[in-house]
Amino acid sequence: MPALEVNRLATGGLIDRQQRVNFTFNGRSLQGYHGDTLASALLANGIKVVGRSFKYGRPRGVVGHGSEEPNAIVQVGSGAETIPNLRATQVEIYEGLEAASVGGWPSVDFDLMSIVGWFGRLMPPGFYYKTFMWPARFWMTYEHIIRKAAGLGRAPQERDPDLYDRLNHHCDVLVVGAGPAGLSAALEASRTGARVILADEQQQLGGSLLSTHSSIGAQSGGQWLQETCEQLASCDNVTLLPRSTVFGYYDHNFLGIVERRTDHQVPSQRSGARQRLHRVRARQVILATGAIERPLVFAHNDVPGVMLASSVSTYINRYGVAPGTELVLFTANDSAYQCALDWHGAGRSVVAVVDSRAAPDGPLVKACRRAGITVIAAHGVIDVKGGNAVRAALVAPLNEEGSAVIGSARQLDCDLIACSGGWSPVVHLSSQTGAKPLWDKEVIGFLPGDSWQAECSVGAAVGSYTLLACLAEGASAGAAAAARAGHGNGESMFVAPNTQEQPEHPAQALFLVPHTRGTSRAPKQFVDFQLDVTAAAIELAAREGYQSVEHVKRYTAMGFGTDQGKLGNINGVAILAQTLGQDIADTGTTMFRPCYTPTTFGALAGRDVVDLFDPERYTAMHRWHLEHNAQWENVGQWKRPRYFPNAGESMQEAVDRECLAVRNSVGLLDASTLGKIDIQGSDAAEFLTRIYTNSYLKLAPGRCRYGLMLKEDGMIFDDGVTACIDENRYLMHTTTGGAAGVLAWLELWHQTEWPELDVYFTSVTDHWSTATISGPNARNVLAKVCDDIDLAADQFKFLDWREATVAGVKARIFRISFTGELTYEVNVPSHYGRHLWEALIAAGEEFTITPYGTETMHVLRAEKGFIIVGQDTDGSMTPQDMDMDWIVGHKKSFSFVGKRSLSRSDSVREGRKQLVGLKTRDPQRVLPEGSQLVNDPNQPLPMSMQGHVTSSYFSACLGHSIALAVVKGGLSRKGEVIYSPQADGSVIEAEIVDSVFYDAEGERQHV
Amino acid sequence: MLQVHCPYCGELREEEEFSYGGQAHIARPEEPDSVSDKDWGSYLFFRKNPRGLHHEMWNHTAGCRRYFNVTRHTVTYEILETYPIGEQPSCKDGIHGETS
Amino acid sequence: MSETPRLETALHYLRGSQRGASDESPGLTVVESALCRHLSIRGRAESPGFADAIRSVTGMTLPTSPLSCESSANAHIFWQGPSEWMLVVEQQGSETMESDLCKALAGEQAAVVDVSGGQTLLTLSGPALAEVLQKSSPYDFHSSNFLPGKCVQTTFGKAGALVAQLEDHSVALLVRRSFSDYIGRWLLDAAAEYGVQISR
Repeated sequence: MPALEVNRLATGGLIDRQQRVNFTFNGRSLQGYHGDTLASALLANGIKVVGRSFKYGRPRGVVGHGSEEPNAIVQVGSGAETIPNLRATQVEIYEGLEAASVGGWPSVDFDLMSIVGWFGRLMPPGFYYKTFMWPARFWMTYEHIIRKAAGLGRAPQERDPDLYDRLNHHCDVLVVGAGPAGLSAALEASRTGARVILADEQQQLGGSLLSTHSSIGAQSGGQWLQETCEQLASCDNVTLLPRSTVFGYYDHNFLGIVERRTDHQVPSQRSGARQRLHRVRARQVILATGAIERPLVFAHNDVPGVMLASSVSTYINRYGVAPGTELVLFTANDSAYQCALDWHGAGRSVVAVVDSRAAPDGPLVKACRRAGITVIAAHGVIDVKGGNAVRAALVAPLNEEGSAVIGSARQLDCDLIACSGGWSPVVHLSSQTGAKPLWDKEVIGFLPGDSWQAECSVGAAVGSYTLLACLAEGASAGAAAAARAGHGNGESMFVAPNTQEQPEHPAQALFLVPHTRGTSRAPKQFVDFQLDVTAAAIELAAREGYQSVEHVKRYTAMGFGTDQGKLGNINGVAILAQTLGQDIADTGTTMFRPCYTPTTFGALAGRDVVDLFDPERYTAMHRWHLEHNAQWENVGQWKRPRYFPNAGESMQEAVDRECLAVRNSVGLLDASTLGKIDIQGSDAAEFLTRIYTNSYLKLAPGRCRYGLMLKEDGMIFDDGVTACIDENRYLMHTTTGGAAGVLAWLELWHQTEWPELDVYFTSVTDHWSTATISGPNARNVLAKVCDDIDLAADQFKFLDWREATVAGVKARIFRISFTGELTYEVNVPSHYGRHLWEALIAAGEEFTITPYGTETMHVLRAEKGFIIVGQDTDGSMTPQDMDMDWIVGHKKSFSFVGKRSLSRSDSVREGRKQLVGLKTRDPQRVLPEGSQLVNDPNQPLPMSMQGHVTSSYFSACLGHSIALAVVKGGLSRKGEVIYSPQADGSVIEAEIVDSVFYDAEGERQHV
Repeated sequence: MLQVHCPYCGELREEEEFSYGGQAHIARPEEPDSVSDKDWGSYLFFRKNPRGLHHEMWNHTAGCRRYFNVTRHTVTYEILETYPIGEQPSCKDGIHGETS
Repeated sequence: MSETPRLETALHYLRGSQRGASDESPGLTVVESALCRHLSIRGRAESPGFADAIRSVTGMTLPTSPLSCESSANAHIFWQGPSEWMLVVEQQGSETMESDLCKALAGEQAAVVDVSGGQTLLTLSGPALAEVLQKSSPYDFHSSNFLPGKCVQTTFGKAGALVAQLEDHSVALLVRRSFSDYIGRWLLDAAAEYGVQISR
């Protein structure tokens, strides 16, 4: 049987009493109503302890009613869909909800940590620094225990099965917060036709109107709210986002909002995205984020049953829950008296209102007195009796400043203490813009500072706490913001209702309630509930020399919890200021950063997950490769076949077979991913000659030339073959990974340095699909599908290109070679890519044509000593380092890009790393790529590094391993032995040799 | 996430469409081969890092592929102007009392 | 060698795919055009001879205002940059267009490049179109900003695309061939909640 709802009032609230909802909390079956939050339902059921504190393991109860809640932090759901660190005050209950405290290990009711009380005494402020950083090797152990004990929630271990997505928005006016000020702003802005978005973290729009009894002119607050919401909902130009937390305010009025779309629904009835990230670019932003009531700091103020006054009112008015029977209200201002009136109105007993002020007499104070409620002025609650629940308040007379106890304390028995130290405007989002919050003595709070972004704050967020002021400020801000965004004339249509608001009695700035003992010896007076930071801890930090509020924050951990110190920070700052003898304005507040409340990774990742995580680029032959068991290599975003294993073949076996096929007969490679850039214009050759190290001025149509491209610092950046297609027209090939960068590089030089040159660049990478036929039988294969040109070696020579018909398709054929064998690179428009590939496979059947992948290509080119830019070079290699001075046109009239740097002192110094070949002493041993090379493997550590291995393979063709490496002064060290110590303690010995291992004369590609 | 006005597309666009191109108005020496190592090193490697206005190049990578210049405040990230390559900035004095 | 070459559009294998509600009127319909002729045209908009040459061959006005496109019964010209346009025209009847353009542009500082194999043209329509675009790109596709005749190149998912609002309020999406699989699957995923199909 579920427990009885001992605290549920017979009537009242916005809950649906027709709809019972069953849920469990820490395994216990409970009931609430549709419309309850988990917190209101727990309070209705008389559950006081909802968690254990971080450091001292003290029992904790619900304090607030919204995103400020520091104690009732729960894990909701189970398995893959579970979400940790939710505030019970914001979790709507649904049938079957499972929730558990995140605090309290091993359990909330039996807490190991509170029994081993010594643990807390080991954790003074700065405990991370003082205790756990030494000895360093213990840190991992400590951290594990602390995290488990502190209960920071549990991330699901399985993949989250839910959908998350995002929506991009542009709007004229984004209004954050749908309380009276926000609603009023949205309403006025919407009237101008501006595109308006109104977001609020609660499930219903209305803010404070949902939890207070108010009137606006002749209407009740509730009626006004309903009419306003209906009107906004009927506007096409308005987007209403309830259950949507604006969690971050970024540059240029870019804001992130997470909408919780199905979290409140019974899981079996959910559909669509669970949460949606709204990325909003707003011309104008209105922050109507309200204010959070500030707790008072007194001894044992963390005992379950100490709550915020406004929260008590909210539970009564919105949820029909009175979380106790006997109330003591402790306040330093007028507004909290409403709590006593609400409590009294709910038929419960108000033991007393304790007011720190000498002679309170505002309208609400008078109303309380009229209702017969005892008001004890010039007193404070200085201590609390009770362990798991409040049993009594100790009340003592205070001096006028509220800084000292001036008489003996008496005990008031009660089970609920509501408190209010005033209100703190929610300046978090404003602060995220870079605006520094400013202390305001009148408001007794930090107000939003000036920001250069197009935003303003209104209502309680700027300390305007009356309903009329909120409505009026919202309306004029709404109209003004719309006008700044180009809609309307900026004049508000708002007419103030004829309502009289009596002035309140001034509040007292009371942050730390004195105790009969000094702060350091008094019982714990909590400032930050979630991280157990006390007033004494802040004083201690100041005594130990910390003065900056940012340092104190880090030293004490104040504000570091998942609640970001929404309740505690201002009290903490004030106590620090007092200790340092400063004004609060001079102490300042800490910086607030996104996210306002914890945000799921799911929402941030959206649909960019699994196979949409990053685009995969496919060639036109991709589906053939898929059907033929290709194993993949990622090259940039491209998927390239790495090798094509036959059944039962290992990678090495497959690569050996593919290599031998190319050397002995013929192989076929999909080279479509190579970057290809069409270059046209009367200055194209001049441009190429400025960009490449060699010259293109005399390259004739039908001919190709290999080129090296340098950055201006002289370092190799890209390489590839450029063909002269026609007079003033060239086709440049780039590396697969470099294609986009090279195009941008060409545009950079053309657009910024040489705009006078007549030249245009167009990417044709995707247009052409390339099948590379390589091997002694390449000509025989091509001849079977191409008969309209002469393929004879003396007619179609190495480094020629021809236009021809291949397999019925008009193609470009380039005689260039990256394997050192006779090679034809056949290019057709990509819609014929697969057709070409299949035609070549069929034509090569009698020669057992072998499709090969990038791994085989790498081995074959390494046998020839051909470099791969980005593998054998790393951005610090000159052409000379690569032994490629033969390609540098030192005599070109224009000082090509990078040329000057080749003669810098650093480029010509001795001892630069140079490309060489390595032959291991053990021919079967393959050096791991990246291995470091040393002259003497027995020298003491740290060894003197001579270079490293850049490419390394087993060559089936040569029968031994081969490697390319860069070695200091390597070109003059051929024949010497060098060593590579390995992680397993072994040492690989190798001889420095020439980087060309196969066909050193280069005859095979010319046949 | 900045919002950048592309002078060629004539619109404000999201930062993700652009790529950053470093400090603007760095001219390549006319005769590189007659420049000293020191001066060439300055041209290659030395860049301003002001607290305040910075003139920098951006490329509208995902849009019109044009390079252009931006005057941006490095503290607030406010963008004061964008202008084509070859033109001079009109905002040269600092805002908020700072200078470039 | 007498066989007819087999032609494959970029997304031929995704045609007929559908996700979500499978009723007659899905929230999003994607149509991949038959193979078109795609010609990248470069040149100087300020040269009167340049636009004249384009008009004489295509019969269409070169859209010189930024972010605009011109459409005829069988062709579009999209503005891609101050010196860059993309002509997409049906294959049939345009066999000589590339060479005709080259001839007409002789003497102009200009370039024409055939990129037909490198991209594919998708047409998107349906009641969920606006929201799918909102999911896919940070560009402001609101009807007050994205009017018929406007074309923009922007990010689409994590790839890029040219997006154009056509007169009939359908949207043309011009994507690179190598990214088309990603974009096709992105659209199926993004629009699944509204029902989506890629036409046969």
